Amino acid sequence: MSNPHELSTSVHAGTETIAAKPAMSPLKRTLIALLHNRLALVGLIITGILLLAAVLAPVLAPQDPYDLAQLDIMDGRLAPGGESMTGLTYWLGTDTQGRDLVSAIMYGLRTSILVGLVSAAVALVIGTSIGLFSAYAGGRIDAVLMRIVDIQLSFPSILIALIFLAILGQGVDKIIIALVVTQWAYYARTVRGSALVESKRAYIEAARSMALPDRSIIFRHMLPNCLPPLIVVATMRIAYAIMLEATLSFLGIGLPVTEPSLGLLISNGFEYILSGDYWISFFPGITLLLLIVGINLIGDALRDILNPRREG
Amino acid sequence: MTRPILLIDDLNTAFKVGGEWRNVIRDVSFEIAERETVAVVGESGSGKSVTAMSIMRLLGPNARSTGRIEFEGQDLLSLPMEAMQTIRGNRIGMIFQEPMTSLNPVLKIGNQITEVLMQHRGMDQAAARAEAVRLLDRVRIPSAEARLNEYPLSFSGGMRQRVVIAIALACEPKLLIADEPTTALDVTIQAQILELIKTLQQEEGMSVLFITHDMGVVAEISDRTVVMYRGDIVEADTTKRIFRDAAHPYTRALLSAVPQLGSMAGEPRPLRFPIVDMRTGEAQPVKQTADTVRAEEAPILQVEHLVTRFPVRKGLLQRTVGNIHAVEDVSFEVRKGETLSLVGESGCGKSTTGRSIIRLTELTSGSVSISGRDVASASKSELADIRRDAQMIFQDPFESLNPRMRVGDAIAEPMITHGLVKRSDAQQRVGALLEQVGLSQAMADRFPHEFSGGQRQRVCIARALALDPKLIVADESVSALDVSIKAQVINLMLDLQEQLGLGYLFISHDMAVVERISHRVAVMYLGEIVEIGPRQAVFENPQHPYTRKLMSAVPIADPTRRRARTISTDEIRSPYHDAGYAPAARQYQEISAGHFVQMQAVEKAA
Amino acid sequence: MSSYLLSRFIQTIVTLFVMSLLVFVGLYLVGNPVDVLLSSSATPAERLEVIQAFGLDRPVWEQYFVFLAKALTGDLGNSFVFNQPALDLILQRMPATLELAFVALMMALILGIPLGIYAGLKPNSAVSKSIMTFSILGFSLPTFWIGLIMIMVFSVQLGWLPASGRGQTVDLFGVPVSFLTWDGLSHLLLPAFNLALFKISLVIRLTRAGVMEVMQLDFVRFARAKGMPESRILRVHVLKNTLIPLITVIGLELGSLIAFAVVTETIFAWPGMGKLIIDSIAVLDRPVVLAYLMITVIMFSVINLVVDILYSVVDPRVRLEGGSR
Repeated sequence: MSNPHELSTSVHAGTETIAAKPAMSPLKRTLIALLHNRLALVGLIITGILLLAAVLAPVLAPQDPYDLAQLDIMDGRLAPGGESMTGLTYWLGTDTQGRDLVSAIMYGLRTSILVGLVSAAVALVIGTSIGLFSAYAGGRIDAVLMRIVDIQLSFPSILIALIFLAILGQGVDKIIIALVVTQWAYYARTVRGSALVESKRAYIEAARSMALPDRSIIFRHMLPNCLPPLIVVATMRIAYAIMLEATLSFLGIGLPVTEPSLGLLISNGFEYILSGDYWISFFPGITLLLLIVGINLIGDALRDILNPRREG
Repeated sequence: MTRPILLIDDLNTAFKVGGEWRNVIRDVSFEIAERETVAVVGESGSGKSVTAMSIMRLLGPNARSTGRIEFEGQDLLSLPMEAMQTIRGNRIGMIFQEPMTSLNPVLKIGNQITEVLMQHRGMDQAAARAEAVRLLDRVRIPSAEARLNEYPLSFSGGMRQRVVIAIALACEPKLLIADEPTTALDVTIQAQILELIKTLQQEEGMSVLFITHDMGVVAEISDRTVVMYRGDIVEADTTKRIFRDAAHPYTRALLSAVPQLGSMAGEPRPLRFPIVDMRTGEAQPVKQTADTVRAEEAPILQVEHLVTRFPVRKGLLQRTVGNIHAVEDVSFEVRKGETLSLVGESGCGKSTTGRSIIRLTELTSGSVSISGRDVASASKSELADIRRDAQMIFQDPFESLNPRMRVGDAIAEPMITHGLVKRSDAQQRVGALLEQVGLSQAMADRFPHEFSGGQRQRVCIARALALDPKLIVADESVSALDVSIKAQVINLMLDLQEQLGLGYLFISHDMAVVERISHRVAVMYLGEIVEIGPRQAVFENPQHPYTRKLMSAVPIADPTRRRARTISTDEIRSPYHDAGYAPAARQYQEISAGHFVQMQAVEKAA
Repeated sequence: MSSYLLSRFIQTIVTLFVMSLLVFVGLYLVGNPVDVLLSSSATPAERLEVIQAFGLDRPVWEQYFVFLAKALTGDLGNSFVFNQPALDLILQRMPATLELAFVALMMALILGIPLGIYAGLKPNSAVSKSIMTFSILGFSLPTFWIGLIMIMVFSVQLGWLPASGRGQTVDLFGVPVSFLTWDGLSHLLLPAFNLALFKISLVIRLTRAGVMEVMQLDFVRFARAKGMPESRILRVHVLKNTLIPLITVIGLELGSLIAFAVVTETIFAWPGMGKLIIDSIAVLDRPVVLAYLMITVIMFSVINLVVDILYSVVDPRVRLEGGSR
C-alpha cells in the first residue's frame, strides 16, 4: 500500500492514459539494465577479456607451452620479469620446466572455460528437459523425479564428482560427465519450480482455455517466462563448474597432465610455495579468481535485474 | 465541539524514488473528534493508506512527512521514535488489510497478544495471559483460553482479523486506525467484523479512522467522510451530505459508479452505469439496454447434475481419505444474449463450476453441453473446437496476459492457431478487435506492462472475442478493478452483449454488481445452488435463508439505509467430507416462474 | 507427523540402497571387481581366494547381495597400502575431519549470521555493500588456491601459524581433538578458516535475503504498529522466521563441509579421511575409496534425516500440516 510505484501505474476513470514510450522487448531491457549496473559492467569486461585471451591463445601467446621444443629447462623457475637466454621476457615468470606462465595461463584458460561451458550447456539441456517434463507430467512422475533431485542435491557436488571420477578415471570427457551429473539437478529444480508457478498463472490458463496446442503453450508461453531464473542459475553454475573442475584437477583426480587447466597449473606450483617461488601458483590462481568473480558479478546483477518482483 | 482527538494539518508525505523526492500526498488536513468515526475513501493510488501510515510513522526511511499531526495535544511528527513506540499499540491501535499475514506464523497467538500487554501496560506473564483470554472473549472468539496456545495457521481469515483487533484494542486506545480491514474477507464475515468494530467502539468510547475503497462500507460505518484522489483531499463532509449531494465532480463520478443493492427494483433488464465527467461533474444520460435474451432458441450452455470433487490424499501410500466437494449436483442453462450470474462466497464452488464447464478442471460426473456439443466426453481435438465457442475472462488482468508477448500477438495467436484468419490478415482483425473494446489499433505493438489495469482487462476481452465465441465465462472479471474502471468495463460487456448476442456466465462475489448485470442469478453455497431464478425474483423475493443472509450482509452505499445486525461468529463451512460421503439428493421448489429454491436445506444453512 | 517420520525414514533407507547399487554397479560392473579388491601385485592364488570369497563367479544379483551382506557387517575389504581393514582406517581418521568441519561450520555461523543480519537490515549502507562485495569474493575464491595463499602469507612470510598437521591433541571422551590445546588450536585455525570461507559468504547471503524478505512481511509492520521496540521485533519476530529455514541449510552445509574437507586437508596436510581418500585414489587403493564413499553416504543420509526431523519440530507450519510437502 505504501508503495510509491503504485502511483505511476494508477488507474482512473476517464483519464486512462498510458506512457508514450516505445515498446521494448524484455531482452533489450535486460541488456540495458546490465550495462547500467557498475559491478555488472566490471564483470562483463573481466569476463570478456579473459574469454578473448582464451579464444585467441594460439595467436597471442608468446610461446606454445606444450611444444617441448620451445621450452628450455635452463629457464626454469624464473621470477616474473626474468629474461630467457633468447631474450624473451617472462612477465609472469616460468614454471619448473621453463614454461612461460603467460602462455600457460592462456592455454589453461581455454581448457577451463571449455570444460565449464560444455558441462554447463549439457547439464542445462538435460536439466531443463527433465524439469519441464516433470512439471508437465505432474502427479507421481513429478513426485519421484523431484525426490531424486532433492536427494541428489543433498549430497555435496564434490562428493558426487569423487564417486564418478573414482569409477570413471581421468580425462576431459570424464570430468565433463562428472560435472554434468553434479549440476543437472540444479537446472531441473529451477525449471520445474518456475514452470509450476507459471503453469498456475492465469495467462497459461487463458492459453489453455483458448485451446492452443500443448506445444505452443509450453514453448511459446511457459518456457520464455521460466528463462529469467534459469539464466541466473546458469551463470552462477558455469562459475561453479569452472571452480569445481579446477579443484578436482588440483587434487589430481580431474584433468590429466596432458590437458592442463588452471587448476593443474596451480597444483604444479604448490610445492614451491614454501620455498618462496610463489608465482607459479599465484598467477594462475589470480586468473581463475578473476574469471569466477567476473562471471559471478554478472550473475549477481542478473539476479537483481530479472527478479520477478521488480517487473511491472 | 470539544478538542479533537486527532488533528492533521497540512500533511505532506513524499517518497524517495530514484534519488528524488516525489510527493504522494499533498496538504492533507482533517480532524477526528472523540468517539467519532471518520472514513478516508479513495481508489488505488489516492494516498489513503499512505495517510494512515504517516500518522503511525510506519513508512520507513524512504518516506518523509511534513506538516502537523496532533494527537492528544502532542505533535506525532516531531516525537522521538521511543516516544512514538509508547503511543503505537497503546494510545493508537492499528489493523491492516491482510489478516492472513498480519500475524507471525511461528509465534503462538497468546504470545502475540501478551507481548503488547507486557510492553505497554507493564503486566507480568500471568496477568497478561488472563487479560488475553478476556480480550479474545471480547472479540467473540469461542473457547478463548484453549486457543491461546495455537498458531495462526489454525485460524480462519475472519478469526485472525478478530485476533488482530483484539491486539489493537488491548491497551484501550483512544484511536483505532483500520486500514481496509475487511477488504480481504467474505461479505458475511465482513459484516461480522464491521459490526464488531462498531460495537467495540461504543463500548470503549474510542475514535476510529477507517481507510477503505468501498463506498458501501463508508456509508455503513462512518460519521464523516474524507474523499481522496491522487494524493489530494477533494472533499470532506458528513457522510450523509457526501452521499446526498456531493460537491466535487470526482466524488460524484465515484458515487455514480457504485452499484447499490436494491436500486434495481422494478428494472426488468440489466442497466449500464451512468458515466460522470470527472472535470465537470455532469452525468451523461444512461442508455437503456436492449432485450438481448433469445429465450426461444436452444440454450448455448446446458449444465446437468455437474459434480466436481477434488480428492485429498494423505499418508505414505497417498490414499484418498476424503474429497472436497467443490461442485455438487449443479444444473442450469444459459441462452443466447443472456447473463446468468453465479454468486457466492469463497469456497462455494462458483469458480470451479466455471472452470469445469470448459474442462479447465476435470469434472467428476454430470453433463455439460455447449452449443449442443457434449464437453465431458469430448476428445482433445473436439474440446479444442468446443472451446472456440466458450471463452474465459479471468480475475486478474495483470496475470492473464503473457508478460513477454505483445498484446497484438496474444490476440492474434488463437485466431491463427484455429485457422480463422490468415497470418497476413491477422493484424487488421486485431486492430478491429482492439477498437471494439475501446482501445486503439496502435496499441497492438505494446507489451502488457505498458497498460493500466482496466486497459489490460479490455485486451483480455478482445482476446476472448477473437475466436468469435457464443459464451463468455467471466470469472470475477471485474473484481480486481477500481470502482470507476469496473463500471466502464461492465458497460463495455453490456455493449458487446447487444452487438454480438453473447451469453455470459458471470461469476462474482459482489451482489450489487450481479444485480446490475444479470438476467438470471444462481446463489451457490457449499458447492450447491441453493436458489436460482430471474434476477428480479431472487433479489426482490429471496427465499433461501442463505440468500437472505448474503443480501443482508452487503453494505449499502446509502447512509440512510443503515441496518442493525447482530454479531454472529458463524464461519463459512468447509466443503470437505471424508471418503465415502454421499450427499443427499436435493429437491427444488418453484416459487414463481423459473424461480427455484432448494428445499430441506432450511435447517442446514441457517 | 508419525507418518511423515516413517516416510522420511523409508526414504533414507531407499537412498542408501540406491547409492549402494550405484557404487556396486560402478565398481563391480563398469570396473573389474577383482582389480578393485586386489592390488596388481596379488598372486593368482590370492585372486582365486578373493573371487570365491566375494562370489565373483556367481550371477550378478547374487554378487550384489554378497557385497551388501559384507558391507552391512562392516567388511569393505583391506587396504592394499596399510594392509588393515579399510573401514578401520576411515574411522580412525574421521574425528579429525569432523572436528575441522564443525569448527568451520561454527565460524561460518558466528561470522555469517550477524553480518548477514546487518546487511539485511541496512541494505543501502556502505558497510553492507562492503559485506556483500566480500561475499561475492568469498563465493568466487577457489578454496584450494586461497589455502595456498594463506600458507604463503601466514606461515611462510609472517611465520605466525603452522602450515600443516594437526598439532598436539588431547582425548575428549576417547576421541582425539585439537581445539583444547594451544598448539592444536594454532594448527586448526588456518584450515578451518580456509574451509569456512565459502560458507561464510553463503550464510551471509542467505541470512541477508531472509532478513530482507521477513522485514517486508505484514506481521513485522503490525508488530511496529503494536509499538514493539525494534530490538524485540528483530529478536522475536524477524530472527525466528529467518533462522528456521537456515536449519535445513546448516544441515546440508555440514555435509558439504565434510566433503570439501578433502581439499583443505590435502593443502594443510590435515590427517583426516579426506586426505586419506585423495591419497588412496592416487595409489589406486580401491577398498579405502569404497569404504569412504559408503561411510560418507551413510553419514549424509543420517544428517539429512536429522535435519528434516528437526525442521518439522521447530516450524509449526510443517508440524501442523503433517509434513505433506
